Amino acid sequence: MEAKAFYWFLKQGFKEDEINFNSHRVVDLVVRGHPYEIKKLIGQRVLCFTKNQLEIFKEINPTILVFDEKHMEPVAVVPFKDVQKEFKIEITGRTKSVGIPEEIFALAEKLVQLEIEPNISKAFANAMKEYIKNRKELIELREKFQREKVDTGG
Amino acid sequence: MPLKGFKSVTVPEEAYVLAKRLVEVGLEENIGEAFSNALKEYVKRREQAIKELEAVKTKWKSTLENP
Repeated sequence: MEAKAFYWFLKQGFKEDEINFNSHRVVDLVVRGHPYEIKKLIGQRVLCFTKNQLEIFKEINPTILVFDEKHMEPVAVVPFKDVQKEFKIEITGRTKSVGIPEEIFALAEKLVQLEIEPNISKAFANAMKEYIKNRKELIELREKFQREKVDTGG
Repeated sequence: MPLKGFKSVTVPEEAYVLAKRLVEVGLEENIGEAFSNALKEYVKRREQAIKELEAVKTKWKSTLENP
């Protein structure tokens, strides 16, 4: 989505050095001093924000660029103050980004298309929960082994 | 921006912590691989259900296209 946003800004006439990305900042990017946040559309009208984002965005009112999987251009460009008029906001916990090979991503997409999972993020989260559950004993054994190694100084 | 051939996926932090645990005990090389292997196994366990759902989808699609 970051790449899509980047090309969209170029298409709008902004120069490369005016588009300042930083996923560790309060907003995803700042362009000519204005804050922008990139959001992925979930289903028809759901956007996810963390509690922290909702509080901060009320103050700084970033422009929200909404992307879906299909289109290269944002499906909506809305000031945060108006986002609730067009979208349903869901509050999520903290999230992390992970790089996944495209062929695995396609498998997750298949689960969503077949309605086995509600979205890609949930597909990976549920898969991880199950994966851990099936390896519970092995993990505990390894952790015990690691602790003993530290205790014996080996 | 993800590397070529990769896609960026946002996962809940609690799932990320689980993946990190697998890496820390040496069962997985890195977080991305942990999620990839988890999903592969998840899909494999549902292979039969996926096949059946795909068959139903194809059947409905052809019924709608050729009523």
